[in-house]
This record gives sequence, structure tokens and C-alpha cells, in this order.
Amino acid sequence: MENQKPSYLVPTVTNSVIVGAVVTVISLVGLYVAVSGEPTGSMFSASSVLPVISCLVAAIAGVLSVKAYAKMDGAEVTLGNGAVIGIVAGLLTALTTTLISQIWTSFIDPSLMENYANFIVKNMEMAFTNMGMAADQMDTTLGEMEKSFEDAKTMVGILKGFGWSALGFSVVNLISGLITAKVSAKGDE
Amino acid sequence: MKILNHNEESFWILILILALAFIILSSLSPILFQDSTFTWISKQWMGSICHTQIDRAVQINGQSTILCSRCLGIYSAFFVGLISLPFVIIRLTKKIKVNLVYILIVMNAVDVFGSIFNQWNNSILSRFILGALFGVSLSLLFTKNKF
Repeated sequence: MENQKPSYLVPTVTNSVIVGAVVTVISLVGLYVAVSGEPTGSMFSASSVLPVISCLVAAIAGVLSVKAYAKMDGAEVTLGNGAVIGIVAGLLTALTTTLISQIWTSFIDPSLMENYANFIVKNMEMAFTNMGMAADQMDTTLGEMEKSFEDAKTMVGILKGFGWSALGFSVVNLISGLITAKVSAKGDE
Repeated sequence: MKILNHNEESFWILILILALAFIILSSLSPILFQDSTFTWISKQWMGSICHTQIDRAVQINGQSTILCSRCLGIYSAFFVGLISLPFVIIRLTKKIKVNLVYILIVMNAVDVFGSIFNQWNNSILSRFILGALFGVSLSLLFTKNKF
């Protein structure tokens, strides 16, 4: 009788929730660092580093999930498994980050996003002025930016945000899952 | 763990190539498709995989790519490496290939932090090259596959 293969769901859910929580913490720290400083007019600064790291950390969900699955008794690591685990890990990471972020910005610190929106608009205004952008073009761009922050607070905006994160995280975790499966598989050298 | 089946591997490597092609096409959409719906969608979802800051992106014909130069370097070199390396014989052990990936992760991380904390200035080209080296190192992991 053939041995039953272990389910990949347990290691994938566990690792994705942990990575999602870490990504959210990094993003929130990045937001607090940003709003605690003064706008500089620079698009890239020390406060930008944390959101950048959070993008990279999100890709680790697929790596950790495939590695955890490979350690299970009877697990067969194939590229197909790696891809599926990666996509599921990406979706779950996006779901975790959306849920924790919404809980934080809705109940724990409702003023955070408003402060961040003000900071970004002021910073971009300085950046556009430094770039010599025309006043009417600047008003249009900043108006669109303010509207996008307002839209992000609505239910449709939250769902859209989740959708974009889910797509991005799924694609990068598909890639990281495939790479990890390739590295983890035996008989390749 | 089982030995990888070559047919299955080829299929999933094709999926990997398509995923990378999708990322590159999305990143180049402002240049290729201007203000189209695809460009708008690309700008939305790529914010979750890169900081997408215009001043750190590659400029072509006055338009910026959506991904920064480093990310574009990673994905495009990985893509080019995957489709070209099967025709190139590179005799490296798996351990060396994996160590090369780690070394390039560290090099990129050092470059990012050095730049952010004003230890040195890097350029769009230097970031693209470092990213591309990392992308090539990733594609080296797949060199032994047959198509």
C-alpha cells in the first residue's frame, strides 16, 4: 500500500501567518518612523528601508513553507508542490497582512493612516517643487494622491488592497517556492 | 523526497519563465503601453513587491519602469538566464550555486543599507548590475534541466 503524502497546508498556513505578521510589523514600524520625522522632499530615505524590507520578507513565506513541508515524513518535493505551496503562501500572507493592518489602523491607532497620508502629501509636494513641476500638474497629482488615501479606507478600497497584495505576493512566492523546491529536491547533482 | 521528473520540471520551469515574463512586461508597461489599463493594474500590484520609486527606476524614452532598477535587474537577468543557460555548460556543484546566491543576497543587502545610511552613493546602473548578478545566480540553480 502506498504511503499517504502529508498535507502541505499545516506548514504553509503556519509559516504564512508568521511571515504575514512580521511583514505587517515591519510595515507599521516603517509608517511610524516616517510620520515621526519631517518631510524632506526626497523619495528615498532611511524611513523607506522598512517597507522595502517588508516586500522582500514576504517572499520568504514560500521558502519557509516549502522547507517545512520537505522536512515532513513521506513528503515529495517536486517543482509542482513548490509552486502550489508558494501561491497558497502568497495568498495567506496577503490575507494576514490585510487583517492585522486593518485591526491596527481601525481599532488600535486610527490616526496613523491620516498622519501618514499628510506626511506623504507634504513630502511629495516638496519633491515636486524641487523637480520644478508646474503648479496645476502638482495640484492634480496631489489631489489624486489624497483621493487614493481616502478610497483605501472604504471596504472596496480594502478589498482592492488585498487583491493587489495577493497578486504580488502570489507571484513572488510562486517564484521563491519553485526555487526552494529545486534546491530542496534530491537527485539533481 | 523524490527525484525530480524531467517532464514535470520542464512544465514548471516554463511557468516560472512565464511568471518572470509577466513581471518584466508589467514593469515595462508605462513604456510599452503608456497610460493603458494594463499599466494602471501593473502599478497597483507591483507596489507589493517593490518600493516602485520613480527616481530609482530605469528611464527609457523619458518614461520610468515601474520596478526599481535593482528589481528589474533581478527579474530580467533571471528570465534571460533561464532561457539561455540550458545552452551553456557551467560545471558548478549545487553547493557552489547555492552559496553564490547567498553571497549575492548579502552584496545587495550591503549595497542597499550602505546607500540608505549614506555610506556611499550607488547609481541606477550599479543597482541594476548587482540585481542582475543575483538574477543570474538564481538561474544557475536551474542549469542542469533539459527542455
